[in-house]
Amino acid sequence: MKISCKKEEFSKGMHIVQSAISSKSTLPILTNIMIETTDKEIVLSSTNLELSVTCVIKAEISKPGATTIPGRKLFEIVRELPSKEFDLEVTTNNQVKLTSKNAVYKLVGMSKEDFPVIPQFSESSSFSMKKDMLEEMIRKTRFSVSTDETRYVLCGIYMSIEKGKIKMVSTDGRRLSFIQNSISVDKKKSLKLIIPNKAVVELMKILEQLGDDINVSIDVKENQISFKAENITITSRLIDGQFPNYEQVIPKESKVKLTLKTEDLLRTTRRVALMSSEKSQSVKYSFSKKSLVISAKTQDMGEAQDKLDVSFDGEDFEIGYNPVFIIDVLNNIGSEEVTLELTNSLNPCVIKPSSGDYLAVIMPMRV
Amino acid sequence: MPAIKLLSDDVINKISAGEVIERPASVVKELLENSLDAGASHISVEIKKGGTKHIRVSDNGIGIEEEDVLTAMQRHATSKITCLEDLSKINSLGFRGEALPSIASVSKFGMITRPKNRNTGFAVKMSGDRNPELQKTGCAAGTTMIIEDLFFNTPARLKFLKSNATETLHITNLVQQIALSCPEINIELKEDGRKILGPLPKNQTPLQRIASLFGSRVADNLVPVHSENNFIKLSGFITKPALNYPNNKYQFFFINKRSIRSRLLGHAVMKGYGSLLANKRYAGVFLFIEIKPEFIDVNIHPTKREIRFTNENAMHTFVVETLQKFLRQQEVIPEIQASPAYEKPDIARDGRIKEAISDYITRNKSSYRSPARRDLLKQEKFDYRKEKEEFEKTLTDTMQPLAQINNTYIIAQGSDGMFIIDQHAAWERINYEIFKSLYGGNNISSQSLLIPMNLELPSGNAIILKDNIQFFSKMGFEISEFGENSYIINAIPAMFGDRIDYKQLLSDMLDLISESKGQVGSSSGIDELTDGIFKIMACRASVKAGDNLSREEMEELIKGLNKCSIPYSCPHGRPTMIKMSTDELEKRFKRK
Ligand SMILES: Nc1ncnc2c1ncn2[C@@H]1O[C@H](COP(=O)(O)OP(=O)(O)OP(=O)(O)O)[C@@H](O)[C@H]1O
Ligand SMILES: [Mg+2]
Repeated sequence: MKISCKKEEFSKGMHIVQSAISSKSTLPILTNIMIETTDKEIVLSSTNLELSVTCVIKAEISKPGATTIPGRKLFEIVRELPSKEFDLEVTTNNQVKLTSKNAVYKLVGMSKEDFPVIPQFSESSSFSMKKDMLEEMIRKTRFSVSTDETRYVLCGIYMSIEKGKIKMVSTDGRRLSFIQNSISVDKKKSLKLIIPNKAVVELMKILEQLGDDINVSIDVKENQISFKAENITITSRLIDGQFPNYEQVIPKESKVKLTLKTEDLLRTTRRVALMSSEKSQSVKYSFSKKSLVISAKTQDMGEAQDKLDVSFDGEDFEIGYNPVFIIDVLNNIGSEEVTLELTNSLNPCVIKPSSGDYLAVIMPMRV
Repeated sequence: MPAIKLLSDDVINKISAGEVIERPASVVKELLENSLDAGASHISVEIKKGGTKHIRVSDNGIGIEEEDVLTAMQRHATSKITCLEDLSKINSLGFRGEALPSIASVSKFGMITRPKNRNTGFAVKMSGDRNPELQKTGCAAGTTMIIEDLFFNTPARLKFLKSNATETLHITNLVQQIALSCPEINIELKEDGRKILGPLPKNQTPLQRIASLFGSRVADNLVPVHSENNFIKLSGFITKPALNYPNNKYQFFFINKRSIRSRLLGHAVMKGYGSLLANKRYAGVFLFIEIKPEFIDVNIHPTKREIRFTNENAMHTFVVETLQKFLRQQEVIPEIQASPAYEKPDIARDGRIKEAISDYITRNKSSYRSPARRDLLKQEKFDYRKEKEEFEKTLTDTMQPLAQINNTYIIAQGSDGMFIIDQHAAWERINYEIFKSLYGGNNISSQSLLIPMNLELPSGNAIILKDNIQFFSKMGFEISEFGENSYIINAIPAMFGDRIDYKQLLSDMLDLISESKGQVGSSSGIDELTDGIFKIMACRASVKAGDNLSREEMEELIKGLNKCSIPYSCPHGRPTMIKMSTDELEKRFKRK
């Protein structure tokens, strides 16, 4: 194999695929990235078996081929190269020679044959959506993903496509977030799957680096999902299991409906939460005529209280929440006003934006 | 012939001897106590054949005047008390006037004595029931008692004795206790001319005496304790928790210089250490208690080995609190010490002992300075708080995490060297204290679940769960029955977050309750079973060995440790940290 590339473009590509490189691994090949030539391009790939990232970049190909090279080292080297371009040549036994101006590097690679096969998808079954929409849907649901390995089906975002709608749901068993949008797909297309949190994290990192008006094409095959945006593809294994019947736990009706300024509720909750302790996190919301008093108290530390004027007119009641759950929702809801729907101190509370098909459900605490 | 007769003195003596003189060591004890009461500063004990053949105790005490010599040999003759009132404020070790006649009645007894300011001394010989023979003799000032052929006339007792080696061991332990109780006197024990103990130099400090008797390993790992109030003064040394034993052989209690056994004090020590020690491990303690004689009763046991405190609760609390107060200080962290392989151990040891002694002296001085008793009471409370605050400051201000080793230990720098912290043990301690205090304040909050968890239980555990549902609810679990042996968890304690496998935790808790066959949390306080449950919760909720910690997480851990009342050991008694002082580092790198 012999190629020449632009330093900057190669660096960018390396930066993208870095995310799936293992730093330490029992399988040394996983610390390598694979470089493969196509007609006028090269494909950089990395994988940790769960998750793979590939990035296609332009290059001049003098001699086609493929090899794998220690990823972090290569990234460091390319960044320091003296000129804007460099040549990379692979001789026998995966000996890699990299030259740029007068600088010459020799690296020991490993054979392409030892590199895990990254699942390929046939473009035909894919559907696509706007990057913005995908990003928003993930942002509004990812915070309630569980980290409890014993309930592994909750450790990811549930995604379903049905009747031209895409839904994403996540829950850690204590709270839930739900979002839905229409997309242009075949109305008969139906999908139900759980994307592991690790893939969500990496996908978001990459999406954040891309321009706004980009289409992401999504494809599913067996237990793998792939997201393709421009020259980048992320492939991940899916969580195998049955996501709980979330529709059942979303309250359909409520006794109290209140609309509040998101910022007011957020700031007040944050302020008061300073006096709730990490181990017994709870903030009390006491509703009475026209006012909502938010308070917290911790043994040996102290207490805090603040008040908001609200259009509440029912019977007095109070309810406790983990303030982190409230703050997470308000931070991500992206709406100037929010509506709280409550029934009593034992039932979940639903938070909705003023527009859009989004909702968050939070279970109270017993205090 | 009438059936009831008065016993002859001789018979009474023998019966009494049966109570007081059980074995050779009892003889040694009585004689040593007499020597101490006589103000001796030099005592030597020589025995042959475990004391069965020969016991000789000689002292340089006040001696016995001519007119008293024969009286001393009579029953109930004593120079130490005169009336009933005296009995309630005994200041001497002897007071019954029983020992000498008892010993003489079961042995061939000899005594040579001369008060310092007399020119001639007297020798007394007595054997079994024969009358004493008195004779003038020249001798050194002081008293020498010679007991030969113990129990020669009571074969049943003789048979009861163990091997000579065992009897020697009993005597050695006894002399050890006496030596500890009076570090100012020179004392030695020899058997068949061979040195067994001492001669221990006179005017040693208590710590020097401990070091002479038990070696530097013990002496270097002691925490000095001191506390006093209007009625009691407690001082002495206790082992750092890292140095502990499978039994209570290293627990020495002295009340007004008298060595005693005491269940009460033993229990107080156990409670004082609390979870610093693992189950069935014992600390070593050398506790010297001075208490006004009117608050104790020594006359409840024939050999005076046991005593009764007038206010047992007060005594117990006093000891527990004193120990806890001193155990909270930094010194209890086990120190890594230079390996003696390439060092002359004696020099290092002497140096360390010297250091410890001067440390002890300064400490004691400062606590003795408090003059008025009322002030003292007030000041103690104040001091306590101040001490705790100061201590907290030292740890928070100075401990900085540097790195993690094997994802298991944290290296931290302190003001005086390096600390190695076991991350799991440390978190266990932190969580344990937090959970306990939350539970105590009825402050465990419970998070309701949107998506409940199913719980399948073996039927035994299902019954236990039902019996204790109240307790689990106080712990933050809300569990309802769903079918046979099948349950639903509707709410979980909020304090664990996502870190924990709740089903595993519940089943561990249930197993523990079923093992101890108990109803848990029935008493208002925290009983042993509840405590056990906290230990399980702490263990489950804690960072494991092998978990990679970020710098922030390490800092959080140290902050958490600082808030603990006993940061040095996990609830199971293993240490949470070990320390290598700057001094030690310097020694190791041969800078010193
Ligand atoms: N080594 C000694 N030096 C000086 N006086 C002694 C010595 N041993 C005994 N005596 C005197 O002999 C008396 C009798 O001793 P004995 O041990 O029988 O009784 P005690 O010590 O008064 O009481 P107890 O029976 O409780 O030991 C003592 O009161 C003391 O006056
Ligand atoms: Mg006596």
